[in-house]
Amino acid sequence: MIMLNILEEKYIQNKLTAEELKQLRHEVQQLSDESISTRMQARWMADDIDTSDVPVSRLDQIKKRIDASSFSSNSYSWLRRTAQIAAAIIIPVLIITSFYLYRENKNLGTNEMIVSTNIGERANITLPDGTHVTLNAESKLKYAPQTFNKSERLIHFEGEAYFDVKKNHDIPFLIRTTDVQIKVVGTKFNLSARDKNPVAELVLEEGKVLFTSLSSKECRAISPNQKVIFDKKTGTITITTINAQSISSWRKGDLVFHNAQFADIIHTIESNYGVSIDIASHSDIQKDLFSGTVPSNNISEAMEIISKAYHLTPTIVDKKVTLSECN
Amino acid sequence: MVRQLKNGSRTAFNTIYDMYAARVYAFCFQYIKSRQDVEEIVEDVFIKLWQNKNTIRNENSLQALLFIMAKGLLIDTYRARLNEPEYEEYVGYFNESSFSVQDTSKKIEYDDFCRELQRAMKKLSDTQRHIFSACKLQQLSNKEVADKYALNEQTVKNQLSLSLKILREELKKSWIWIVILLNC
Repeated sequence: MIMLNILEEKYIQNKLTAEELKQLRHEVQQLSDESISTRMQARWMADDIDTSDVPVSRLDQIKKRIDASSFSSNSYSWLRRTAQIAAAIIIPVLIITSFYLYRENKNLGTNEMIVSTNIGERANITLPDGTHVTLNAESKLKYAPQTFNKSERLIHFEGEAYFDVKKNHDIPFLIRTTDVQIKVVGTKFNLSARDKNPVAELVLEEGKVLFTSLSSKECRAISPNQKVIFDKKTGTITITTINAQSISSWRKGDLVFHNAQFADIIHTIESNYGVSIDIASHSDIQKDLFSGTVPSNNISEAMEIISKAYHLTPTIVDKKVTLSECN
Repeated sequence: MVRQLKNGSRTAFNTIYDMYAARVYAFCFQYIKSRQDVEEIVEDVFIKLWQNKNTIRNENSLQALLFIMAKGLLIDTYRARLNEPEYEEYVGYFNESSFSVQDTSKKIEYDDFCRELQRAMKKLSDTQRHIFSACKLQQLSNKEVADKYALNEQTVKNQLSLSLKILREELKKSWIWIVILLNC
């Protein structure tokens, strides 16, 4: 009996080990419903039950349901019955419709919303809490609408996007990528967290952000006009000061480069335009850094600018660009 | 107030709900661990209370009466929960996470845990899911699983190991860190 008390107490406190669970299971199996009932009733009648964890909103919801089934007046019960039958027909129809709607998302049958962009695409979405997200090319955002705005606003994200997060001090906004987590209360920032890049970058325009490395658990607070670079290999977080506006200018239709490496420029252009760029040149010129602005909606102009800077000649055929040396 | 309730006073009923609903909820949750199931019980109890308001004898017996109305569903669900393999996994998770650096305020609830496990299981192939389910949830031995699905034992071991890896990866994404016992 004493053993059972101890096990039961541990079970209630969630302090059981797997072994102890098996023991408890065995013990309870031997007991009749009456003996379990007696034990439970003794605990129920005692004074010390902690109700601080009970969600008041849920209690209200439950009360509504109780009222609905206990207090409908008889004179309208025929109406209620008709409504129930109608609901029984309409609800399956609605479910089938939602099924087709959710088929747009890649995850069938799970309560998850996914928004993703392909190469060369951009998307603007508004989350249930009013947060605006502008997704750049090849990016993906996931969240669970049912739990989203409850105790926290959690999204899973990969790629690059600009976030304008609605301020809510009670419900923090969490972005989880493969390697880092970002926690904000109400801010505007640009996040680049592409799985294939060796670094993840965040540029904060307005507000405050808590940036956490999932591997090292290191957590830093970021202020406006700061840029965070997270090195996935070493797990280090570096913070530099920067002009935030220019980084997110891809939203307005320009690709802005500050001391960018040639390879990065090529990759950004490929990603934005959905083209593949071949470089038919053996020289070292590509070591130079480039600073400048390039349009994101005019491939020929964009290539002109880059080619001139690197003394190359662009040839554009459909989705393929070749850069060859100038003569 | 009990007298008013017996006379059919809704106000009295509301007051009693305000007084006891949280207690019923908290008490049942200690045994049931699932908020979904607990809500069902709370609803059930108070609906029954209203239906049986005439049988209440006096103020003192109200608390006891509430228990009597709850105990059927409560005990059945309690027994079921102890036997659930998913709950056993959940206990394992609790043991593991007490050692992790994650903040303890983030201890995941059983409902969420089950949902995430379901979701992670969808990432497995059909074969993997069958093997995982047979091995972990039905507790068959490697040999029994091999016989059941006409595979050789090594294949079962490999597929199981692969499934665990996939599940672990999936659950990591949804912030659950779990050690699924490797013994089969």
